[in-house]
Amino acid sequence: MTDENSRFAGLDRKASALAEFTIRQYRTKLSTWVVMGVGMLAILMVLLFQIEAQSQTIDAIDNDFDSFDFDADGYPNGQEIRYQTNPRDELDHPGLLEGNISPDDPSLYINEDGFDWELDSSDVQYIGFDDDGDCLQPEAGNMVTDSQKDSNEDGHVCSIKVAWSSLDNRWYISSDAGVDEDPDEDEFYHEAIHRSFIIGFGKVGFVLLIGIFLPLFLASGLIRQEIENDTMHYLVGKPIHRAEILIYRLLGFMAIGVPYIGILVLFTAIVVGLSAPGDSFFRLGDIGIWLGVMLAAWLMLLVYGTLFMLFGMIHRLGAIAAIVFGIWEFVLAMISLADPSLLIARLSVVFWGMTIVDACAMMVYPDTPVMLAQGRSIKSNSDWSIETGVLFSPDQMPGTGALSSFWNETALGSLGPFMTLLVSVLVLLTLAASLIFIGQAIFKGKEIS
Amino acid sequence: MNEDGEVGDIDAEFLGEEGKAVSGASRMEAAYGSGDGDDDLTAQVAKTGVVAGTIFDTTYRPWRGELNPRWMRNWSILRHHLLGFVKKGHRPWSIWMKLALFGCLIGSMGDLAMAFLGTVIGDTDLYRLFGASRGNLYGHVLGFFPRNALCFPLIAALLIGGMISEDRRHGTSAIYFSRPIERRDYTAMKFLTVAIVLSILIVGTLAIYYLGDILLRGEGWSWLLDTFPMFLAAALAGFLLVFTYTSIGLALSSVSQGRFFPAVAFLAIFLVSKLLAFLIWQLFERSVIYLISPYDCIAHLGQTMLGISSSYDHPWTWSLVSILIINAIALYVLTSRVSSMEVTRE
Amino acid sequence: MIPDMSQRGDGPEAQAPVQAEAPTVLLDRVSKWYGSIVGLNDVSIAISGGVSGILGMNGAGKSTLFKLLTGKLKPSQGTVRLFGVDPWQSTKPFGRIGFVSESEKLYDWMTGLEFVATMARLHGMTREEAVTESERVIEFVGMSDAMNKRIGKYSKGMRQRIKIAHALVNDPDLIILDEPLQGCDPLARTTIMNVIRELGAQGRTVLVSSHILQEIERITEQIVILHRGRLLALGNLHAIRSMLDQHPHSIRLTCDDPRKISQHLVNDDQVFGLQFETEESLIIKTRNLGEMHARLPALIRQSGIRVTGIDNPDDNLESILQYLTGGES
Repeated sequence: MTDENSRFAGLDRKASALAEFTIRQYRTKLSTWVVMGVGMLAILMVLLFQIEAQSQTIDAIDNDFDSFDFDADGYPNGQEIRYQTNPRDELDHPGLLEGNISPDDPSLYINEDGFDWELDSSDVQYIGFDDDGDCLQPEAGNMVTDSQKDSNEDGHVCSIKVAWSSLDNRWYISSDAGVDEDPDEDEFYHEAIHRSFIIGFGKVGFVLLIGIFLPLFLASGLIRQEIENDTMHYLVGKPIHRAEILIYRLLGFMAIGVPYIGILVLFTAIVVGLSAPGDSFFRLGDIGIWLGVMLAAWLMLLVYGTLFMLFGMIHRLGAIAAIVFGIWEFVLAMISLADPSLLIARLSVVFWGMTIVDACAMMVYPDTPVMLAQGRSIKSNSDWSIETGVLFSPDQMPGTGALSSFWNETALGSLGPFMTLLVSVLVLLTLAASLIFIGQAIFKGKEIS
Repeated sequence: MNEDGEVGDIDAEFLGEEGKAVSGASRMEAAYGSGDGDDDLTAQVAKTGVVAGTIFDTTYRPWRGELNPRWMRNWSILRHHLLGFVKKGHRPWSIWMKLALFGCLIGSMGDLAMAFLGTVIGDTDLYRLFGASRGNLYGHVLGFFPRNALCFPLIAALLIGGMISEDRRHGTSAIYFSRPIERRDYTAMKFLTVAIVLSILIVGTLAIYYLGDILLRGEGWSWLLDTFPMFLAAALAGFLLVFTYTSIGLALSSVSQGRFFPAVAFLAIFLVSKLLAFLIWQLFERSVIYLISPYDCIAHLGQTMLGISSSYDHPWTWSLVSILIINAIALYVLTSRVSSMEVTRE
Repeated sequence: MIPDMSQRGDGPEAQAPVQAEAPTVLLDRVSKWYGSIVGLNDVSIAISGGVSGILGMNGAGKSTLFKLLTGKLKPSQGTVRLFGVDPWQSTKPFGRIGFVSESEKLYDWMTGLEFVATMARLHGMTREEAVTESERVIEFVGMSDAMNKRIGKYSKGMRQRIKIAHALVNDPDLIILDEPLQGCDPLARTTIMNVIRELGAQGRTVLVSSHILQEIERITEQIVILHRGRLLALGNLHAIRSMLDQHPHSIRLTCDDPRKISQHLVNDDQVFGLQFETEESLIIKTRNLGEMHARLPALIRQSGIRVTGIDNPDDNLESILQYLTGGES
């Protein structure tokens, strides 16, 4: 028995008692299981799409037509360029040269000149290597003179000029013809989709959807239910400070939410890591961003949980306030996804959670802006798909659209990603702490009749 | 009963027949007499001269009045719900609900206001942007942002929130079901209430918009003939939207006991399904998952009916089937819950 | 389990008798109003030790009083002190208090033992301590055989007893019970009453509220009577009764001819005064209200005057009498 009547006696025992009680109370409620079950189902459904996407192969597109045979002499254009015969003259082909050169298989000339970009930190760089030699060859096709080889007129022959614009926050690319013009679509697509899935689903699925809805359903009743069921006096009439009641109840809620999210993220990470593109069996490198997603989702749980608990505590109609607030967050989340540099986005909680994910993405995939630039650099080079015979003009590599819609350079631009991460975490923790402080002050003054 | 199955005097008293009052003594005796029939009917009964008496003298007379026809009873339920918005003494709606409804009504007339502004200041571009047209009629009913993202689902959620669940919680459903009111009618009237309010909000404002635009435009009958089918199509899509919102919402309200869970679950269903489908569309460019989002199914149908180019890859028949299935499930849940609802204060 | 009516309580004396300078419960000119409704009006009470019954009709302010004592409400005026500490400002005194509320709601999904043990842990006990103490108090209230069943399956009397058990688990010096016998069957009622008497005999301060005098009478003789938020009487029940006997009561008769009817009343030995209030009403002063009311119909019939109204103008005394004279002829 406590013979000291101090409220600090046995703090941890009271905390564990109330938290345990809360957890057990959640277990008996149907809504807990329904919400958690629906969340899992939704994630499974989305993962199925991801697995399917990663297992399909994207048609290869011959962006530079060098697998075609324009002069129908039996030798693909690319081979003719290599042997410096005229690809448009049927009477001029490598077969006539010494050495009995047989025609190459056209598939050798599809996706043969991919991105060889090694970027450093300078603002303007000249990169790229002409793998198939259709630019570098002294007499390559119609690119004979130096000025023809330097079609972007940047003074560098057969190269790609890449300039970073800090005004627009993107790379500007201008390439010489024939350099890195036929990249592997399939490889690019899988990598792009992999990254955009993790970032997109991390932000929308975990941070926004689960981050808002789990607390909305489960945390709103933490205090409200007790008052409405007339059982609040059991908790209030004990030697526990009212602030403690709030904190320990929240602790119980987190004890349910944190493992739930942890398991879901872990499961998603395993599935995505196994189906990921790349040479290794499992993409271990992604772990950084998954940890970021987990952290962001946990912080969302904390902040939203506190907020909704307080809404419910303050007034019976606090539920309506919670709904309205939820809608506000939704709208601002959409804005954050579209353009996080808008200041209004910072007025929401979800913005900071998404920023955490963005910051981790920047740290784990620092070359994504380059990838986006590469994806956008392939413009209308190919009109004819060899596989399907369908005329189309991709104006960017497949997968670029998805990646660009979910990727955001973090809006706290001047701070690096690590500082952004720290700032966002701090903002959320401070928000949670101040909410608890305000909440307990309100709760202390609240009469319970 | 004795061996030959006849009801003797003592038993008659026990059973309360022949107008004899039941006294404690005889009841005891009958209870003890449940052996194999040939023992004496004796018992240690305290015959303390308990006077069998009635508690109070009440004469029950059956009501011989005329029961009003069914439609009148149902109308009274509907009236009770609807008048609660404007009068005291009927179903109470919270002030926030009324404010939100009012706000959304005004807000959804925004396009008419802009068109009016356009004509007043003579800006033809503004007028063209907001005047009635295929796209604008569609947008008035099925535009996602802000109508179907904020306005309509919020009002629907607030309406259905406590519709049935509050009755269960406060025990007033017992009042309904102990009257000559069928459960089907009760459900139907609740459904109609929500549907009427939502229809005013969605289709009523559409009609005002259309009418207002006709007046502003000052066009002749030929224009009316051209655009009326579009208006009808938009109205039909609007009614479909109203029906779907109502059925899903009431199904949720009948499942829960609070007024909060149905509202939030309602919003969750609409917004989450839309968001998930959007996510998958952005990532994988597959639109088939839009079939789980009720809003998108109706939007697809609306686009088809109004002749707007579809933003979905899959055929509109799939959306139609999906929305029918969704409504069927919701109505099934609603009717089975209400018909099995216990008439006690739970 | 057969209740022992002769139980006097030979439990041990409380280890640390409450010898504080401040009384255990102190209300000093406390008023509480909700908007325009007055819950308590200028109530001053000091209680230390023993069982005290709080009596009053529904709406008299008993629940308000208890909520003020347990820190759920803040007094609009005046001071409330438990063990010298204001319960609204500080939760310190709650470690020495047990409160059994009137509400029937419990956590139906917990077993009795779990419920009491959780409440015990909220006082700061370890898990083992909590279980030991819980079993002890559950046995004290006689629920040992049902303690591992879910509360949802308990009968009303069992629920009451488990509530009392949870209030006792921290060995409190002050126990407050709000209508503990409400809705219980006679067996449970007797058990609970024995428990309360036992607690009082152990030296704790017990406050019990009820609106049924007979129940309170069986537990204690010290009563506090509240009526419409005001303190009406305080002290020994029998003393209050005898004081009331001295106090004259009034009956107002509204009739056509008060003077004529007074001639028939003046000789009755229960009437010690008559007062003509208006042309049409007569105030009868009597010492024995019940007896007077019993005789009045016969007297009125004798007089032959038409009487249109009989009522008691001094309402609050009437209500006291409802409690105090009920059951006595």
